[in-house]
Amino acid sequence: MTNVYLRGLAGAILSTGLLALPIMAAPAMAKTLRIGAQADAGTMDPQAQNIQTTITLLSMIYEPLITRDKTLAKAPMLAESWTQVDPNTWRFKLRPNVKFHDGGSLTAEDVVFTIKRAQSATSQFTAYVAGLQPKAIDDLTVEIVTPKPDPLLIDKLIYIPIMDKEWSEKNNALTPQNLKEKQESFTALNANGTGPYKLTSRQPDSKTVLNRVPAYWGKMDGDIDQVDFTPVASDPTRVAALLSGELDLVIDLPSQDVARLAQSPDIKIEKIDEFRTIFFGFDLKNDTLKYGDAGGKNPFKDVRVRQAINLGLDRDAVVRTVMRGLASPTAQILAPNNVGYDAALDKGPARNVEAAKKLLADAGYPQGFSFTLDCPNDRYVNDEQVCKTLVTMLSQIGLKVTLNSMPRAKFFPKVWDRDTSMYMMGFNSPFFDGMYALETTVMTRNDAKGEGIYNYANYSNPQLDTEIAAARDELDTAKRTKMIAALYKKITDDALYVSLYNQVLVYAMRKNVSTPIRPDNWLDIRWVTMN
Amino acid sequence: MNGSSVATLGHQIARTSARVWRSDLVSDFLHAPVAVLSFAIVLLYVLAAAFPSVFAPHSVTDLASLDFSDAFRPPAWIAGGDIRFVFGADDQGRDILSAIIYGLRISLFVSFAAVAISLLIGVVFGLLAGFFGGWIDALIMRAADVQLTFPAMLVAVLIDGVVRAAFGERVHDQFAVWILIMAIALSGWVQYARTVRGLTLVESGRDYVQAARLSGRPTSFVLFRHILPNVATPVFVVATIQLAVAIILEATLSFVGLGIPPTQPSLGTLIRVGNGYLLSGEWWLAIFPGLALVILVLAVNLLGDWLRDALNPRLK
Amino acid sequence: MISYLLQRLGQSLLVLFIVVIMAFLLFRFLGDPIVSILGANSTGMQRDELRRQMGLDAPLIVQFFEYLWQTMRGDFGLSYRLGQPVARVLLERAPATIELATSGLLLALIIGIPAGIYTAIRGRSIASQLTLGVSLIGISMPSFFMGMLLIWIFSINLGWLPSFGRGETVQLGWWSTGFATRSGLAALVMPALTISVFQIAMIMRLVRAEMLQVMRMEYIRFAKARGLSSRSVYIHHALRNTLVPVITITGLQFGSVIAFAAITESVFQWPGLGLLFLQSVAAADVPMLAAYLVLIAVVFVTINLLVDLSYYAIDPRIKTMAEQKGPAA
Repeated sequence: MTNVYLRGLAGAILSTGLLALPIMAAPAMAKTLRIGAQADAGTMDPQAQNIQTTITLLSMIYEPLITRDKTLAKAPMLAESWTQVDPNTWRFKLRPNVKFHDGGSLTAEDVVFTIKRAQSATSQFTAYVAGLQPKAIDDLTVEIVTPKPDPLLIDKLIYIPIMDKEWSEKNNALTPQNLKEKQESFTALNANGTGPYKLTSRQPDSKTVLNRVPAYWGKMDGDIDQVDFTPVASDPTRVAALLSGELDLVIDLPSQDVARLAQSPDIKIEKIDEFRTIFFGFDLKNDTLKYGDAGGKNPFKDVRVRQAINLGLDRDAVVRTVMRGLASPTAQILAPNNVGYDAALDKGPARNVEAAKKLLADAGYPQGFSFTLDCPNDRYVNDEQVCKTLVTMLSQIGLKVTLNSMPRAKFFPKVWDRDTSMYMMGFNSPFFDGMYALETTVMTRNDAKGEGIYNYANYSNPQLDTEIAAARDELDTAKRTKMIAALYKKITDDALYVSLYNQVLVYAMRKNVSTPIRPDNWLDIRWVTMN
Repeated sequence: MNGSSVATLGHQIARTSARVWRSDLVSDFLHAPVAVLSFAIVLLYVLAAAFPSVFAPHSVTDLASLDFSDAFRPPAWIAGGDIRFVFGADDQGRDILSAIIYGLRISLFVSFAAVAISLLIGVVFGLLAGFFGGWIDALIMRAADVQLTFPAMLVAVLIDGVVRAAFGERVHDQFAVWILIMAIALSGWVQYARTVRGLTLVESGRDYVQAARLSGRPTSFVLFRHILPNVATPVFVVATIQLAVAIILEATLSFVGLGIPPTQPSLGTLIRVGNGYLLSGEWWLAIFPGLALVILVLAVNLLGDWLRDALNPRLK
Repeated sequence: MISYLLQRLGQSLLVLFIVVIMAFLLFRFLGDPIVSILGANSTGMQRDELRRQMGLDAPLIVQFFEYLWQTMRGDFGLSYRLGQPVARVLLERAPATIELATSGLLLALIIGIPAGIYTAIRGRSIASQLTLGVSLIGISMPSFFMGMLLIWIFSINLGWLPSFGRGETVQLGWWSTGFATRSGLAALVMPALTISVFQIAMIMRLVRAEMLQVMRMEYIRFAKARGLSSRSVYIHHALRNTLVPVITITGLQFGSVIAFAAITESVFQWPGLGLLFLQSVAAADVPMLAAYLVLIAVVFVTINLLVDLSYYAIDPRIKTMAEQKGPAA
């Protein structure tokens, strides 16, 4: 009888194996693009989450007034044209005959509604539309008044996709989310845009399916019929899924797997220098070290200590080993191609352990000191590995560093509270402009004015604040650019932040997929083709 | 439990183990090659963990000695390998073999400590529950139910969170290892408690125990003198199996990032870090710590198996 | 009997109450749910406003009683992370985990029982020793390492099986099943195998031990002495007596398989309760985590209650003891 059992068992194993083979061999449906990402879009509401994955996915369904073309220049989208009536007033002419997916027509009222909705408390895009006063002039004309002259208004509106007023009212979706009244947000699972794809099904954390809208108003190069967006959190599993043909495009790649993928005959790699700089910040306010022991002092307030750390880093080694060459070393916090960028500041000092030790000794720490470094472990590419490497490097100049790496849900509240002695940070400017980083990471904290909101170092220098404000209000573009560049030189020389590298963004896809890749990691489906 | 009963407990364990060693267990052992081999492996692991500086070719605690040009060096027998790094080097240029030995030290320490603590809690609670019954039994067994409700992972998160909230980050970092030990210990005591309770229920119904109680012997005397020796053997077997479970649990918790911080890597942390390099060709970062782990757990399990069979009178 | 039943029921409710308290307290410490809602790029004012809106600035005890009151009404609130009712999300994810756990346990029974019988009656054969050895390796292999290796072999190198997800699912009312499509079945193979390895080894060893014990019993020897064929003795007498404890223990395992499926689900990105749990931990999604805990507690407490009651019905000794040593003792 045992033989009977064993035979049955062998049969069962064989049949599952045989069953599996034809499934994997079956061809994918025509022009279905299966995208794999590290995390799911958190919502289908275009104003509830300022996270690039969500922005990217929703940009397939929703459309803003203005977009960027293949050269990243500003281009018309739902607005056919726009003019600046006076320094504070802009007028937008809407494209006629544009329909939402539910059949409603796009009108000026929808634009006014959308901007007001984006100003509500639970919107994450309030900073982009603060103080704007939109007004419908006629059915297809919108006027927007800014509180003061704003050279970046158009860049900001790129992040505000237009929603349908009637649809939102009908479904009680007047604000991005309403957790207080314990009401389910209709827009968490439903969407109604003017874009080339409509939401067919959504299973959060598992799969979101979009289908082409036959009556789409625009023309586009892209020829994808269906988009399957799939989050796969585990790095090796996601890469494995691409290799085994279960995914067509992966937009979050661990850098160590890029070389392996490039060897595969079925896989194609696309790269671009990303607008994201990875750097480290210090507690520049407290007089004693909060996490660490430096004899009752806070060494980071001494510029020599920060410069010693700058000298103790081996940026090239980090880029070579941890990042596998998929980053470019830099000593400043602004990435190339942003307004105010100065290539000269990228070049940091070469590693010099002796000089670093001497600087520490001069500052009064011949034996070094100990402190804790706070790092996220699920936010930036290889974040934890980079921090580990930093700990090793700093130990070689005599600093005893304890690494505290944690998920972002713990990391960010900690730095928000300025409850840190040294921390890792990754930053990119949404408007291709250096002012944003100065305003938010260098100016003295003032939440109401949106200044210093990411200044987790708690740095405060009134003199610098005045200079940044002056550059911000400067309307002469050439002059403004010069002023921003000078400010970056100042903070880089002062080692306010110690910068490591700019990330290189990598997409991996099956050979038959082609997609442009943008430095702000915004995948534009309108350019994606498959054959 | 007062001081004298602790002494009695220790005395009992000593007596029981003496009895075990006087028996033919030793000669049985020497005639079981699998048991001898497993024992040798476990012994080797324990020695390596106890004296890492003797066994490990490099010191991994001295970060300043690491050289980034050694990062990702393959195992010695592969082109590009270096005999100084027999099993290759990791992303920091750290020798994998040395990292395994130092990691083993933490893994074994955590597992042994966790098993010891859960054994102590479990045996005492089991004895009390089985012997006294009533509301004590109900209380302890309901506590066991609550405990079983929380997978070890949840217990780890709970203790971790409480320590962080109550004592702050700095204290938490110092005691990360002890937090992990308590998490594993608290998830394991129920096994002992249930085993001991069951056996105590049976034993305390026996005539000699009833007689001892009626003759006015103190309760602690009856518990530790009469009942404990009869539950010691199964407890010992449970402990061996639980040791294997604890090692796996430590690795799993560290693998999902709820265990040992990456600056003092245990085997599980090493595998977690190495897992990210499995596809990129640096397989040695994950595979060698993984093999070291599987071999250790296998040896402990084999030893536990053999012990159970050898100590089980029904199979003789 | 009635009083014992009531007493036992009361204890179970108390356990559930304690779990609710712990669930609530535990996750107040876990991290800030505000990050998952607002993202990393929010301002202090937005965060304060949201905290106030969500009532997170109220005293802890107020928050707890509000939570308790809602839980008792079956309302677990809205997930911070997904913005949907927790109960509905749990209901959506449950089929994936239940199908995975059921398949894993069935696989374990299908392989474990015959293997156990074989190793019991052919104890000295090489195949039997080999089976025992392999089962030990199965027990000694952490499930995350097992999952990693399976993906490496069957997805990457051989390309036979999908590395993540559930494949195509079919909706039967609110229940989504992966059993009805080929891709669903293919996706199930590796996760089910990973989850079953430990159970296979356990069931096999249990069957073996029980068989060995039963075969020493007088009536089996007697049956053999009467000249009944080995096969008939094994199947009709030994196996039948063995299966009762095996099935009981397997049933008991069901709860823990569900509770511990998290690791397997995360390796294979299986969209079930365990993955939901790990994601909710990372995002500090308090309502979701608390509800998950309560759900697992209900499953365990129910199973424990049933087992205790059945013991009570079977073993009169426990009955007398329970009566002798009432709460007064």
